[in-house]
Amino acid sequence: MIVYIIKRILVSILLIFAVTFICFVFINMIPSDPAEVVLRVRQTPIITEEAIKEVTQALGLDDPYFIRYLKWLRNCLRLDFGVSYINPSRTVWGEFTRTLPDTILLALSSLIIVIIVSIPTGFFCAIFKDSLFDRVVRILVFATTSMPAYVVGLLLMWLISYRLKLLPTSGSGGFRHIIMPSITIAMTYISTYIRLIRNNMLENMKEDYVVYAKVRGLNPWRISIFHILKNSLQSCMVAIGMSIPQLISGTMVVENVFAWPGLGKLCIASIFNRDYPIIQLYILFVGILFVLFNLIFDILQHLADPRIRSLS
Amino acid sequence: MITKNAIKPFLILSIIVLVLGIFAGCSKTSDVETASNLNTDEATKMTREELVFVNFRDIRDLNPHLYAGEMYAQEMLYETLVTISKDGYEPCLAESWKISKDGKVYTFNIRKNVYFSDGEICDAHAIKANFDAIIENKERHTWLEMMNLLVSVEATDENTLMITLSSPYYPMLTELGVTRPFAMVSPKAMINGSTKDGVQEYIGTGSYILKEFKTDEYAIFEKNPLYWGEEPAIDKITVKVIPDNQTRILALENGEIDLIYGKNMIDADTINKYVNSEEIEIALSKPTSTRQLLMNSKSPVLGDINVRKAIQHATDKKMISDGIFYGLEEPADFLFSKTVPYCDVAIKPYEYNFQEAVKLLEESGWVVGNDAIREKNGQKLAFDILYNSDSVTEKIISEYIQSQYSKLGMSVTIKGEEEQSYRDNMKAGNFDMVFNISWGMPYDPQSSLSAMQRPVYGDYAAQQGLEDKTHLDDMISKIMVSTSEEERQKLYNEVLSILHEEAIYLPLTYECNKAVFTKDLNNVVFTQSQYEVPFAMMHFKK
Amino acid sequence: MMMWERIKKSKQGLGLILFILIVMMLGIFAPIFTPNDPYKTNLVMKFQAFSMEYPLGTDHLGRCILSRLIYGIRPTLFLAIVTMVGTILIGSLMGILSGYFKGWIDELIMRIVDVMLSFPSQIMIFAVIALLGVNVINVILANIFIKWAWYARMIRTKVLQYREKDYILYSRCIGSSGWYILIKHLIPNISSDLVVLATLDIGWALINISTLSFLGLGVQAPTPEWGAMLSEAKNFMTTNPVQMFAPGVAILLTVSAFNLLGDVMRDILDPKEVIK
Repeated sequence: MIVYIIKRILVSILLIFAVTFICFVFINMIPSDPAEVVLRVRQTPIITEEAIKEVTQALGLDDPYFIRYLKWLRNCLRLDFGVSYINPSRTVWGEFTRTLPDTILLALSSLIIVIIVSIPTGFFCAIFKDSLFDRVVRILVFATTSMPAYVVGLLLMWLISYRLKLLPTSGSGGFRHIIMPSITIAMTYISTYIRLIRNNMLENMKEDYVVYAKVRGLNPWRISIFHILKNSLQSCMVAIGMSIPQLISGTMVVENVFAWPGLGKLCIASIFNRDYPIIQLYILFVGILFVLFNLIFDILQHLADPRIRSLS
Repeated sequence: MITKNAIKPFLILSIIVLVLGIFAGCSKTSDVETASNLNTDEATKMTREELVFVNFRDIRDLNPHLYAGEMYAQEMLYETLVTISKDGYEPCLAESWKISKDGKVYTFNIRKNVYFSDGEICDAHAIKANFDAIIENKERHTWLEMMNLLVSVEATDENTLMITLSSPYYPMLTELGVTRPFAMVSPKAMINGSTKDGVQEYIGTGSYILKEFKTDEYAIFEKNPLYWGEEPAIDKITVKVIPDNQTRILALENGEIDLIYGKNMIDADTINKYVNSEEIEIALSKPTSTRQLLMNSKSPVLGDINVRKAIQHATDKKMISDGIFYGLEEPADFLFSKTVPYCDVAIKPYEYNFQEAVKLLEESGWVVGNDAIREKNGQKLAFDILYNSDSVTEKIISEYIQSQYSKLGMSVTIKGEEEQSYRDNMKAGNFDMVFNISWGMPYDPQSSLSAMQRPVYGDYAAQQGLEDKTHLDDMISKIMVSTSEEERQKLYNEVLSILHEEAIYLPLTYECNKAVFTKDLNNVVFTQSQYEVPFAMMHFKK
Repeated sequence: MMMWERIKKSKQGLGLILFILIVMMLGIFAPIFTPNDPYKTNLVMKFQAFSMEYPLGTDHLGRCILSRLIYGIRPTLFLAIVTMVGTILIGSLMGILSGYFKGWIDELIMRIVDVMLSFPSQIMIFAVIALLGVNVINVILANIFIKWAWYARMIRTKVLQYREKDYILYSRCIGSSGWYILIKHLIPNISSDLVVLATLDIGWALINISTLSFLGLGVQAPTPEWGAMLSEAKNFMTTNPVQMFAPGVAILLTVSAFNLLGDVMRDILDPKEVIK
């Protein structure tokens, strides 16, 4: 068991190095000369060949690739990711930490909606399998998988903000602003989790312990809630936990529809403006987040599930 | 997943969508209900002392000696020695001034008892400290010709400031009235007497102070209690950041904001929508500047003067004016409107004439290729148009002329970038064709022309391919120091004719400043500077 | 073919296929079906309501929305199909290589697949576009880049299953070449799974491409594309909300048609799955 965890951690560390290396390669593949960019960022009025040479030497841009990678890595560890190409007065780290809380807030509130809606719905769908309720839910679930998030977002915005004037259209600034974007994000995830919980419960229902409990004459609702649901939730929670990074990175589109001032919006703007350092940090962040969450929930799953534990 | 009746959800979905569509169709009829909603909102808002304004981006760095902040905010916080109104120069921090006979020495009598909002006195010494900080970063400000002519700035006593120039310079006071870089910041806010690397705080003598801000979300301004002039009527001004045009309009309709103001903040469709509105008022300024496209003479395709002339002839400005602006902005024939000083020059406009455009291209050897795009010596007649995606109308104009030019056998790619990035590319000359504006009063024509000599905007880069570029620059320098009105006019005539003949500026419309606001707000006016929002003059209906 | 025989029996399947075919035909023969030139701007006629001349009205440049919608099938639907074809080709090639030859090739390909699958797909798309620049071709490349690994893994599993089947062992015994065996036996056997998956994923690719175009990272003006049309319409949400209607409905209907067809086909072709 401990061997497995150590092995898993080592692999994750390797993966993180791979992610950092990819990010480094990324910034070095961009078509513009970094020295020229530095000069532009410094607002040098006229950029000459000599000035470029000078900067190249001063910043060690002509060092061997690997040395530059190590230097870059060292700067990363100091949280020094340079300054934005577009707004030189802002550091990349500053921009990142400024927008991250908004994205996390949005992802969290979506997650809460997902959990609140999908668990009871999935539960009742499994209990009343093939009932009218189950079928209606399945149709709705299907409908949401066919709706791109931005179409849902626009529809909500038009209907709720524009026609009914119930909620502010976009931006952030309080509870009312977060409702529509988080519902839009939740829509795309709810269907997956309803299906997950429903199918998981249906499988659990066929397990021996359920049959045994029924034979013993326990209250069927008790069995459903305390045994089947509890068991299903355990595996679903792992799935939900693993999808948190997906949720955080998945806010990108919705943030842009609703002008939510988070990381995703920053990232899209940076793509348009070719503000590469910001894109780089974003990719680095999401990459590391994925590796870490996979690691944590893998280990948790191993600790929680005796069947998998005995396997390793 | 769904075994039976797979068609059913499909049908249901279609029905939902159709119902929503009917909603959309009925939008006209339910406008009445919208109006009544607003009415109740207004009732609760009466006798407010707070104005909620909106801008498309953050206030950013408000250091007035650099160029990275929002001008409307800088105008609220800071003041200059003199201000420019339609009647001429008006005293501001300088109560009066004298100009020596040879036109080289300016003596300013500084207003007494003016304090910065941090309590520091704003006397001649404080202003001298500001000039020192500005001169330290001289390179950055040479787009203003006076920076090149400046000999010395001295504070002879607390109330007297003397500026000496190497030669007389007629637009001197105009340039001193420019907020950036000649607005005064508290010496205490400077970092070791210097501002070129930033300031500690945004402290000025203006009618408002910056109370707090959250990057990219909002900024709050409050009345400056130490302000020397007339007290503004509105106590508090909150500026929200809303980058999207439609969202701004919805926010205005929902009463979340009170005022949208600015040349690039409101499209003509919106103005048109509110012409007869009960709740929302509109205001338009007189034409302030020229909306134009700038062609890069260094570009492989647009370097050909005949292509540039063909483009001039192929652009239907009347249609742009009527179709996109509903006639709110008049079509423009020249780089500077004839009403701008010195600009009533005898030059012939390029008429809209499609045949002429085709003729010019054919003459120059651009022939239609297999893919309906013209080419010459293997070079396709293809180029980019760069526009500012923060502007509400530039995209539509780009799309329109893209479709127009395609009829001519030109392949045009349009590319939108956020304002900062767009400006960087413009300055660096990374464009074929780019949206540009003349700077309007008080900069036109002298500062706009003067700036063509250096990489300030795109002009410098765009003119690099012109044969007579050095001659042009020469004449522009001469204009600035000429003392005879007649000679000056002659030089202006020549410069403007050359620029017109070279056809690198494609004037579109004479743009005007626009505002839409709640009916409660009074006295929303436009001042001489198109970048200022005169909050101090506004007040709410009692 | 077995597959087609079975689909023919399903009314829903046929209906959906018919719908999709009609949409495709409209796209292919767009010049015949469109009442107006989709690129022709006429500023005087902007924001027109539904009429005989402009059945779905006109947009902010006075272009016919119906014509743009029909022409929009081309980039929207056909790019999704191109994406899927590319994905399947690369995925199958990698999967077959991996499953058939085993050994270090398998090891290498599968490790790459693992890394690809462990990254969030959306971020990968944005990274590819950020690096290569905003362009339609890059959008397709990015989509193929993030999706091929799924197919590679699936096809490898199938190849491994079929590899040990008697008739393949037999053909090998009589000395047929490896590639001949593959083409002759494997591909027909995995094609039905491929078709189901690909149908489902066309919906996915459609959403992806239109989302990117909506954000301005995909198909560029003036090419009509549904996501881009919605994005344009969004700029006139307050002044002319009707403009959002047509492209929005078109996307919803087309994506659901593909998703439904995928479901129907899965049920028809793979009886084991029906229980689910």
